[in-house]
Amino acid sequence: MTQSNAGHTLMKRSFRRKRLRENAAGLFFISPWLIGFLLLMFGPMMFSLGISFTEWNMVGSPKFIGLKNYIHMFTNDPFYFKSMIVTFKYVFIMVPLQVIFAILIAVLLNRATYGIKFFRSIFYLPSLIQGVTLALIFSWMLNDDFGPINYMLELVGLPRVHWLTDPNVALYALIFIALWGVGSPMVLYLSALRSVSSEYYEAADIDGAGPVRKFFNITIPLITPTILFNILTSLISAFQTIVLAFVLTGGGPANSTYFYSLHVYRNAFTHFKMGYASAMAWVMFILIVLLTGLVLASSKYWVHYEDDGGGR
Amino acid sequence: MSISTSKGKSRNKMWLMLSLVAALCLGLLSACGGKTESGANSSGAAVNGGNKGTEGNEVTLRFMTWDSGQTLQPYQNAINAFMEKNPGIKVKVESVPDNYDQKLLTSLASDTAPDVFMAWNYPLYVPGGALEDMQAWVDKDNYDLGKYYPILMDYMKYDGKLWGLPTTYSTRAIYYNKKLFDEAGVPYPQDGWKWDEFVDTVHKLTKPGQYGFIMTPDDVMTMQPYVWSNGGDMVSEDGQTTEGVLNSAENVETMTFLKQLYDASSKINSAGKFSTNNGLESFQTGQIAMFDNGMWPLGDILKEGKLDIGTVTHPLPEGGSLKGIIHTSGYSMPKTGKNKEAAWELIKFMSGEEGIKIITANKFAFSPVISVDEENGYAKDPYLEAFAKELEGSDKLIASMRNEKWSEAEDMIRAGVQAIFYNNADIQSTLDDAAKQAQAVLK
Repeated sequence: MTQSNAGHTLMKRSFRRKRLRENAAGLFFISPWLIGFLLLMFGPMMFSLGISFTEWNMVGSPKFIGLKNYIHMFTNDPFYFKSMIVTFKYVFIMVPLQVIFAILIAVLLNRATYGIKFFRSIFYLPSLIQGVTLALIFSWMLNDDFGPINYMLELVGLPRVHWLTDPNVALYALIFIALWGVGSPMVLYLSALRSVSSEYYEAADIDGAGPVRKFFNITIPLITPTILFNILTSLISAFQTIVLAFVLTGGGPANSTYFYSLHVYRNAFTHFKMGYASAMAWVMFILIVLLTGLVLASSKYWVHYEDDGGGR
Repeated sequence: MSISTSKGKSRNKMWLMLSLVAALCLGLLSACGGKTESGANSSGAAVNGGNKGTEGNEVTLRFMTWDSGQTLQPYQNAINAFMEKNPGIKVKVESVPDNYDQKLLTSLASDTAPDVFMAWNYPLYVPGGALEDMQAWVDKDNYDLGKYYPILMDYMKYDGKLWGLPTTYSTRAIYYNKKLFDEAGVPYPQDGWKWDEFVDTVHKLTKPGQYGFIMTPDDVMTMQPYVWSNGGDMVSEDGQTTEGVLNSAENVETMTFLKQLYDASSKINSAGKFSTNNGLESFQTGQIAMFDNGMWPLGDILKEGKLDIGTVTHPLPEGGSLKGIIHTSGYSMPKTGKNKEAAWELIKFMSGEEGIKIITANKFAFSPVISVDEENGYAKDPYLEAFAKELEGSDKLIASMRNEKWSEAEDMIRAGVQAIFYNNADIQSTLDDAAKQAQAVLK
C-alpha cells in the first residue's frame, strides 16, 4: 500500500503506536510461553532441521549428505507411503467422527431440562483418562481371549473380533479408542450452544422452521467458530498420534497401524538414523502447517462470527 | 477476545502486567527445571587415567547393565566380590532396563558413558568410533582368550576388531508343558524330532482357548535356527548380500514350514502380544503348550513349581542338523573413559573364572569360560541339556552381528513374512522382493 498524502501518514503513525501498545499487552501475557518456546523448543527444532541434512547415528559426528534423506523418503523407503497412508486414513476418519459425536452429545445434553450438570460430568469424565493409561485399559478391554467386549459379543451370539490382532480391524479399533476423548470438545460445543441466543429460535419458530431446519440453519452456523477450533486441534494431534499404536500394536499387525510417527520413532531409536528421522519429522511438520493453513483459508467460507453478520 | 488497554498511559497497569508476567515466568521455570540428567560424569577429571586405585586415592567406576531386579543380583554379587578384592576401586551399578541402546548411545555421544557397560549390538556402536578396542588390553596382559568358546568370541568382534569380553550366554530351546501333552495323549517331544512332527504336535495341542505354539511373523531373529538347520541363511557370511541368499530354495522350504506352523497354532494370536518373552505368562497359565525361549525364565518357572515342564531342542528338517542361536553380550568400555586401568581390571574379573562362577551360580546362565561351564555341569541338567546341545552345532553368527544396518533389512523381511502368514502371499516371490528391498538397504 502506498500512502498518498502526509496527513494520512501521520494518522497512520499514531494508529500504529496504539496498535503497538495493544500488541505489547498481548505479547506480555504470552511471554512466559514465548520464552519457554524459545528456550526449550526452538533450539532443538533448529538443531533437528540441521541434522536432517546429515547422516548421524548419535555416536561420532554428523556427516553432511545434502538432500539425500529427503530424496530417500520419496524414492527408496517402502514403509514411507505405507505409514503416510495409515496416518491419513486415521486422520480423515477420526477427526470428522470426533466432531460429529461431540456435537451430537452436546446437542442432546443441551436439550436436557434437568440433570445437565450431572450428565455433562459423566460424558466428560472418560476424557480425563488419556495416553498410556487409556491404551493399557483398552488392551485388556479388547483382548481376544479375556476381553469383556469380546465376552459380551459372545453372550449375544456374535463371533469374537480380533480387535488389535486382525490387520483389517486394528486401525479402526484405535480410532474407536481415540474417540474415547470426545468429552473435551463436547464441553466446548456445549458452552457454545449455551451462548446461542434463543431469539433466533423464536424467530425461526414464527417463520415455521422445523427442528431439523433449525439445527442446520441456526445451531450449526452459530457454533462454527468452535467447530473450526476443534478441527484444527484434533487435526494436529491426530497427525502426530503415536501413543495408542506404540503401546497397543507396535505398528502391527502387518503394519496396519504403522503410523508416520512410529516410522519416525523407529528410524530414530531402532535404526538410529537421526538425520533421516529428523527429515521425516520436518516433512510432517510442513504438511501439518499446510493443512492447517488450508483449513484456516477455507474457514472464511463456512465459519460465521456473530458480529460480522455471517461470512467475512 | 481482545485485551482493551486504556488509552492513557497507565503506569500502574504496566506494573501490574509486568508482575503478572514475572509470576507466570517463575511458575514456568520452576515447573520445567529441577530435573538433571543423572548421566553426569561423577568421576571428576582429577583422577588420572593410569590410576589403578591401588595407590591411595580411590577410583569410582560406573557399571551399566540392562539387568534389573532379580537378574541384576548375580552381577551385583560378582561386583561385591571384586570390590572386596580391590579396596581401592568402588563400583556404582546403573541399571537401565528400558531403552538401553538409546541411553548408551546418548551417553557415548556426550562423553558421559559409564566406565564399563554391557553391550551386544556392536555393529550399532562401533562405527561411531566411541568404543575402546580391547585387543590392546588383551595383548598388554597376555590375557588368554582361548578359555572362551570360539563362537562366543565371534560375537565380541566386529570389523575384525575385538570390542568386549563375553558376559554369559544362552541358547534357545523349546519349552513344553507336560500336563497339556498328557491331557491330549500326545507323547513328549524328543531331541532330534522332525519339522512335520512339530507341526503335527501343534495341531493336536491347539483347541479353543489353547495354543499349541505361538508362531508370530514379527520375530524374524528367532527364525534363524530353522533357516540354518535347513542349510540356508538370511544374509551372506560378510553381511553384504541378501539376494540369492534370503530367497534361496532352502529358505522357501523353511518358510513353507513356518507358515504351516503358524496356520496350525493360531491364525491370529494375541497370546504373545501383551506379555513379554513370547508369551511366557500365557505359557505359565497353561494357555500355550510349547514356547521358544532362552534359559532365563527357567529358574523362575521351576521355583514356582506349579508347572511340570520339559525342554527339547528345536525340531529339524529331513537331513538337517541342529544349529542353535546364541544370545550373548560383552563387557566394553568407552574410548574416552577416564579410568581405563581400573575398568579393565573389572572386566577381567567379571568375564574371568572368578566372576563368571559367581554370576552363573544357581543355573542363572551358561558360562562363556569353558572350564567353568564344565564345572557347573549344566549340560547334564535335565532341563538345560537341550540348551547345551543347541550350542554344540551352532556355527553361525546372527545376521544383526554381520551388518550395522540389519535392523532395517529385518523390517523388510518382517513385512514379507507378515504378507506370507497373514495374506497367504506366494512364498518365493515374496522372499524375492524382500531380498531385493533388504539388499537396497544393506548396499
